[in-house]
Amino acid sequence: MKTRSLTLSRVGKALGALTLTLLVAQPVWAIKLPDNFLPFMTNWTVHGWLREYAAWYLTDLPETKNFNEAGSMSMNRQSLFVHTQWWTGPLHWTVRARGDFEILTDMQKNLQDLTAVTGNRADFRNEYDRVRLREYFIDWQATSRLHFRVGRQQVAWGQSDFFHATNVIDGYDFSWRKFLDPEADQVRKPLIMVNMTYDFPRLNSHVQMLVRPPIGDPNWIGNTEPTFGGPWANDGSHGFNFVSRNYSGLGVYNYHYRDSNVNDPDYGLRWKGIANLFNHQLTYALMYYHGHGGFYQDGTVIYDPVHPGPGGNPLQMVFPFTDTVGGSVSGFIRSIGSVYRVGAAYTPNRKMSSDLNGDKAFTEEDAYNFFFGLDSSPHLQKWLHTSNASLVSMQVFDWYIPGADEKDEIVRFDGSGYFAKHNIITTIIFKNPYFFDNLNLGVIGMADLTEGGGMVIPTLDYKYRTHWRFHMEFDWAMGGGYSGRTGPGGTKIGSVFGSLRDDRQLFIRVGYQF
Amino acid sequence: MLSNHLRDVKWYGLIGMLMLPVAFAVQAKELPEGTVISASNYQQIANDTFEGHTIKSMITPAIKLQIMKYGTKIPLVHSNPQDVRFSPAWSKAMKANAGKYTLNSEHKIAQQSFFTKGHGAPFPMNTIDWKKNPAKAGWKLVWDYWFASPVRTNNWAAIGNEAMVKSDKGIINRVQAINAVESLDARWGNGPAHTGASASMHRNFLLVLTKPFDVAGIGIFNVQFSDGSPSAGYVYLRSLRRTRRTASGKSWVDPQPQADLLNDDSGGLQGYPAWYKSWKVLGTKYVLVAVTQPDVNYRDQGPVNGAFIDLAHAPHWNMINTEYQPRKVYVIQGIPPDYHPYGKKVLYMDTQYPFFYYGEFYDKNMKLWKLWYTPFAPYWNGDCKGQPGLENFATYAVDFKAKRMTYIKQVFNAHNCDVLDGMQPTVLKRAASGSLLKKFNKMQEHYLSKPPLPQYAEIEKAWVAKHQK
Repeated sequence: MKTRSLTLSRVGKALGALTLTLLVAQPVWAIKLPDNFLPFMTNWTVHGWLREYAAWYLTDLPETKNFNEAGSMSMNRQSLFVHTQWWTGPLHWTVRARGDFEILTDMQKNLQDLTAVTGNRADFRNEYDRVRLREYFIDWQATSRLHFRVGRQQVAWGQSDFFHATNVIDGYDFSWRKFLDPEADQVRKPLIMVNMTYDFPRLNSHVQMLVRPPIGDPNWIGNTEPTFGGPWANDGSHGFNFVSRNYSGLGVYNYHYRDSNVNDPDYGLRWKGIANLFNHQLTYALMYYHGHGGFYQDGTVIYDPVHPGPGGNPLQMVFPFTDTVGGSVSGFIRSIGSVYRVGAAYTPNRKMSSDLNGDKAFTEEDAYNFFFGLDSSPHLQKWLHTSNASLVSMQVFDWYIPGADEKDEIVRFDGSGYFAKHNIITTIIFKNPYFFDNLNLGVIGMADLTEGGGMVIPTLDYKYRTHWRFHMEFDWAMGGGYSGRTGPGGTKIGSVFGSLRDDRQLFIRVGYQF
Repeated sequence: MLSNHLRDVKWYGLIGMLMLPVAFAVQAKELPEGTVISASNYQQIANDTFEGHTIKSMITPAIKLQIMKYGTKIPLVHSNPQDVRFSPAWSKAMKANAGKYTLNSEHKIAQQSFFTKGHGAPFPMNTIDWKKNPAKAGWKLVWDYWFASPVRTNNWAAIGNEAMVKSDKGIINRVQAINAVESLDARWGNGPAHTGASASMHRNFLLVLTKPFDVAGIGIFNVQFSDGSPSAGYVYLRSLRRTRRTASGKSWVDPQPQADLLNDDSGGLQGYPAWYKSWKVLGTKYVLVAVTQPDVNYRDQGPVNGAFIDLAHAPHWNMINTEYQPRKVYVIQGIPPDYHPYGKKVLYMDTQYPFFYYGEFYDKNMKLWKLWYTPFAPYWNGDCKGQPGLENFATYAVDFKAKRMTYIKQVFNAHNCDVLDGMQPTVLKRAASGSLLKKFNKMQEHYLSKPPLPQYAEIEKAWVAKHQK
């Protein structure tokens, strides 16, 4: 205990000192180091931010009898993000690092204590606290058409919001922030890749080729879910350590399961272009990717005593290889003043879990993703007194498994039950700028058209001058109740929103950027 | 008696007529160079002249408001026609269009060949008779500007450090932006007239924020069309790290991010002219313009400071260290469509070259709302083709209702550079990563290493001696 409080105190002091330095220095743009600081590096800049993340539960968790979560602080996190870049000759270097420090709240401590029920007590700070280089890569414009980016990086393909059809490359780390934080780049898990782009200017197109060599930490692959428990875990699991990072849960992560070994490379390519049909510009993309994120990025839970995971544990979270082909098209519909986005992805023989107690590890199904979206910028200044055009973005997203039957009990990746043939979620974003765009009031709505239930997320973003940023949101899941059937592991089945409806919370982020 | 009386009247009249010029001479005089127009002397010198033009005739409504209410001071220098010069190739292309093009009943260029084969401004300015038909002249002039503004040229790139100022607080926000424009039609010089992928592609337009950190890459890339089709717009979603299409149908009337300008206000007029209800020339006159500011590529590259804006004193937006000379302009009025926030735009266009020095924007009740002003600076070392030209020294926009001002301090300008051609939506990503800034830094280094044009050699030498070690 003494060691921890000492560490916390040091971290707190360091962050405090840094904040003070930044406030006193008040750099206008960035910390720009002198060009001769290191003679071989030019245009060296350092940017970043220091933030406090805080959240409070608005409802009590029925699963904890000894604690009333309503009104309790569920997150108290300090993060320091540093983005630095410089040039050496023709090479452009980028390094992005982030340090996260969590001060466990009483609510988190209580949930952590409850995880001892499996005999493997989780260590939440071991799951949350990280100081790491998230991205480090070199950009090289080899010729006017040929560009390379080599190193640990993020690559996003596709035109869909929230959910991913053709965007199958990087997974996400939801262990510390499961809800809809718009900053996807802070939860996306970068991978070491060779990323080559070749332009075809006459065709208004470029081709992109990606290879992920088997370098780096295996757990960079796929999504990381808060399966160790805590405020971001699914309903019924907040105080349950199912699988945790340090292999102390009921199950284990296995990144090297048989032919799902992440030590084999991933690769893919995408053709992206603009077609000019009369005066209609149509953006299109076609892709193929061999990796682990087709159809969904989450791990697949299997029970295989013949091929157990680390420690001889047969209950494993594995990441099977997937091959995905897909495409998207986007353009403007003049008559309704809106941009449409439409896309599809096909992952044949997607390995999924269906029968944890049976003799086969996986079930294999052809799986499709479809989405259709419409975005518009209505001028509502007269009615809402906004300072600029509003944004309305609607989307319908479908996970489609033609061969699925609820009797097959194919486990949904979000832990909310079993897949139906069509699994459709619709979303809407409505954002309104005020005070010269410095204040943005928005609301995000989501609804599960297959299982029922939905979520409403009112948001507020405020920019104070150059350095200070403030974000607030309410995460309000509703409906999606249990259908009465028992799901995998004895869980009650509902929609993904049903599994979040006891997690209603207020979330605040205050940041100072430099 | 009557005859005597009449005789007296005649005499007094004669004496009065003789005295009139004397009295006039006492009241109205020609002012010397260096005179500073300010609130304290405006009433006394309003009827005085400078280069033969009365001061009050050269002061437009918004400039008068600036002087009388906000304390703007306007130092006068003598005009020099050589201060407004552009590439001879630009003039050659415009002259060659004499008699080639006409307007149809929709006020658009009637000859389709212009959109794919026409070079430069379609209507030579010396052939436009505004008195005969002010409306037709208005349309012709805005088309000349829209297709071949000499301060945009075939391509133009700029880095601007912006500051937003509140009259009672001073600077309240800062951003940095890149603006780049690539003409895809009516290009002049040795290359092809049209470089767009389809016949009516007009230009690629990029306006993207590069600082502070959280907004780098936020902006818009538009492909505009010469037949009035809605622009094809692209935005970069920074945290998602991807570029996507945006609904751009009416985004041309939206404000620029956090600024006191609309997208339509870039250069004075950015939208397709025929989206306006009407254009007409209200007249010609001399106004006071700034065209001799120091080359922006030589000025300090830091954020907006007090060098050219009086940040120390309210309203914190008066331009300083800027000299003004008389220049003959067309006064052009545009009536925008109903969904546009403005009731009218009054723009002041040079009578020899189709570009605007400033504009006054009115609300729907025809009350003065904004002043947009661009001081210009010559390229001391010539544009990328080694030719003379003017660059934007700053963009200045005052919102008199909100009592706010946006000042864009240009710290890099480049015109007519082949390397700026071929922009794609992926340029937004390059702006976010910093590689576009690096490219412009290299272009600027190259520019500064070039020898000056002979006419600017002394000015450049003096500036360098004064400002650089």
